[in-house]
Amino acid sequence: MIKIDPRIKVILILITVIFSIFVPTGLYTCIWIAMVTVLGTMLGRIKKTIRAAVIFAALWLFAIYILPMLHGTAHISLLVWLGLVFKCYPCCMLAGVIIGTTQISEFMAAMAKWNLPREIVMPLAIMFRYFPTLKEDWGHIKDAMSIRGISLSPLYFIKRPGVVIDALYLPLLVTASKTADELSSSAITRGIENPSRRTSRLDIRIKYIDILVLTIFTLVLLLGVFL
Amino acid sequence: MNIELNNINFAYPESENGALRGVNLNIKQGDFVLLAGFSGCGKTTITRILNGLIPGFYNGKLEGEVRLDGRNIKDYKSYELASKIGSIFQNPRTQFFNVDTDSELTFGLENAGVPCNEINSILERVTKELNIEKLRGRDIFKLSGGEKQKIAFASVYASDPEVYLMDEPSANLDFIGIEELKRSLIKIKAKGKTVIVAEHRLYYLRDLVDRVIYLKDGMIEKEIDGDTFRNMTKESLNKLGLRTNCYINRANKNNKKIITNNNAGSLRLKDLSVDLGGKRIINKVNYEFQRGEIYCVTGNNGAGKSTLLRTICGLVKKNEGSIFLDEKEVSANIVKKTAFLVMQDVNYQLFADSVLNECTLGAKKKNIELAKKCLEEMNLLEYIERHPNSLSGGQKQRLAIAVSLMMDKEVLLFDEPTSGLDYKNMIACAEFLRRLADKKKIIIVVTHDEEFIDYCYDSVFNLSNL
Repeated sequence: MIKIDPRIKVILILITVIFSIFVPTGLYTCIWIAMVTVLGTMLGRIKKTIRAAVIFAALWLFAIYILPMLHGTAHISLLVWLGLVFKCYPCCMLAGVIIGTTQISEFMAAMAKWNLPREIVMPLAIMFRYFPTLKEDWGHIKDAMSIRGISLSPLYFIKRPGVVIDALYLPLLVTASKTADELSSSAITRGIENPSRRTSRLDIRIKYIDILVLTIFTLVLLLGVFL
Repeated sequence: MNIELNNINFAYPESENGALRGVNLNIKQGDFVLLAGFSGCGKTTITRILNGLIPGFYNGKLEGEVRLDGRNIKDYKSYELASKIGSIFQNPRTQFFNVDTDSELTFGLENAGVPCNEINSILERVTKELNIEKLRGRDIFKLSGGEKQKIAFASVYASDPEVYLMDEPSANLDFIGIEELKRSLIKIKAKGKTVIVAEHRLYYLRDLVDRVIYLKDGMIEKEIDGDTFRNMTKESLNKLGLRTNCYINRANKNNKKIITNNNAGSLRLKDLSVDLGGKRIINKVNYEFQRGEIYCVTGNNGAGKSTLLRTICGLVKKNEGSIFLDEKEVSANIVKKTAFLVMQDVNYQLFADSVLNECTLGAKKKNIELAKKCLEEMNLLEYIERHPNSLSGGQKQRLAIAVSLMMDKEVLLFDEPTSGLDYKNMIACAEFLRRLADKKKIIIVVTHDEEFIDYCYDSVFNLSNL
C-alpha cells in the first residue's frame, strides 16, 4: 500500500479533467482507467476500484460488440449516452478513489501548506464530512417511508409523486439543517477558527512516490494529446 | 478557572424555551456542578453561553456579564475559549468533524497549531490514560453510541481544557456506556478540573456532584449542595420534576405481574432467527407478546434489540421461524401492514407541513374526522395547524403514534422512546403507552431506561439472556 500527498491528488484530478477535454475517447481512455485502477488498488481501496473497472470494461465491450447490432433510435440514444459516460468515467472514478482514501484532517493540513484561505478549505472539508452522514440519514428515511407504506419504486412514484416528494424532502431538510448546525457548533468549540497555521499529526510531505505517480500521469496525458 | 455569571438575561429570537432570567452563578475551579430542571428550563443555554456559542453562533438578546478568571468573556476569541473550555454534546453522531477516530482525537490540537511530534505523543498518552486502544484508527460511523461518546470525551480530554461542559452526555448511552462515562468523569474530577453537566438522568452523577443548580423557567430556583442531593428521596426529587438519584435495580423482579392468557390475542414469535451481513443476530427467539400489556425489551448493545423490532415491522427479513398474530401464522407482508415503529429519532418519520396533514398523508381518502379523533387521543388537537418541526420532542413522538392510530396499526413498536426526555415527559410517555395498551394494542418497547421500565412495564424480556 502507498500513500500520496493530498496536493498531488488534487493535481491528478486537474490532469484528468484536461485529459477528458483534449483526448478523444479511445485507447487512451482504457489506459487511463487502467492507471486509475492500479492507483486505487495501491492506495488500499481495492474492492470498489475493481468493481468500477469491471463496470467500465463491460460498457466498453458492449459499445464495441453489441451496439453496432442495434438500429434506429435505440442505437443513437445509447451511442450518445455511452459517449457521455466514457467522457466522464475517468474523472468520476478518480474522484471516488481520492475521496475514499483521503482523511479530512490530512486534506485540510495539505491545503494549509498551499496557503489556501480557510474560507475555501472549510466548506470543502464539510462537504467531505457530510456525505457519509447523508448516507446514514437516507437509510433511516427509507425505513420511515416503508413503515408508512410509502414506496420508492418508480410505479408508486408515478401514481403518487406528491407523497413521495413530501416524504423525502422534509426529513432530509430538517435532519440536514440540524446536522449542519451541530457540526459547526462542535467545530467552533474545538477551535477551528484559530487563525494560526494548522498542523497535522501526519507527516505531510511530497515524496518520491508522489513525483513518480505525477510523472506517469503527465507523460500519458502528453502522449494522448500529441500522438 | 473561576466562572462568574452576573445577572444574565437571554432569549432566543423565536422561542420562549431556554430563555434565562436574572441568572447569578459563581463556579470555582474544581467544582462539579449539575444543572437540572425540565426541558426548556435554560440548562443548555447556560452551557452555550459559557462556550461562546451564544452569542457567537446562536442569535438572541444577551444581557449581563460573564467573567472567566475576572476577564469578560467578550474579550476572548472563540479559539481562546476552545482551549480553556471543552464541550461535549448530546448527540454523539454529529459532534465529530472527522470520519476516523485518530483525526478526531487530534483535531483540537491540529487547530491550535501544535507541532506534529507533540500531537503524536499526546495522542499516545491520552490513549493510555483513557484505555481507548481498541478505538484507535476506526471509522467513526461504525462505532456504537457509547464508543462515539468515549471518542468525543477523549478528543476534548486531549486538548486538556480547564473546564468540561457537557450537555446531556448520557442521552444516547446504554447502561455500560453510562458506567464508562462515569469512570471518565471520576478521572477528570480527580485532576481538579471544573465540570458542568446539564442532565436529566441523575443516578450516575450521584457520587460526583458538589452542587446542584435547579433551574425553573430560566431562573435559578434552588441550589442544593452535594450531600443534601445524595440524601434526597426519589419522591422529593420527583416533586421537583427530577429523575431518581439511585440506580434502579430490577434484578429480582422480571415480571411485575404474572401475565395470564387474557384471550385478547397476541403476537407470538416461534424460533425466530435473523442474519445480518452473514452474522446471526437473533437466534431462535420464542416469545409471546399479549395484547393489552406493555413489554419492555432490554439487553446490551449488539444483543439484537433493534433488529428484533425491525424484523417485526418488516424492515429486515427473517431467515427462519414464524410469526403468529392472534394464533394465525402471518407472512412478512401482513406483519408489515399491521406493525408500526416509532423510531428513536422521530424527526425522520415526520413528512408533512402541518400536524393535520401528517395524519392524512399517504391515505387514499382524507378522513379529517378520524384524524381529529386520533390527535385528540394524543392531546395534540390544539396543535393541529402547527408545523411538526415546531413541536417538542415528546409531542413529535405522540404525533407519530397518532399516525399509527390513523393507519389502524395493531402492533406498536418503540425504539428508546425516553432518550433525552425529562421526568415529566417520561411519565407522560408511559401514560400514553398505557392508554394504547388499554386499547388492546400489542406494545413492545426497546429501552435501557431502567427508571422508565420500573414505572410502566408489565413484563421485561431480556434478549441477552437467551
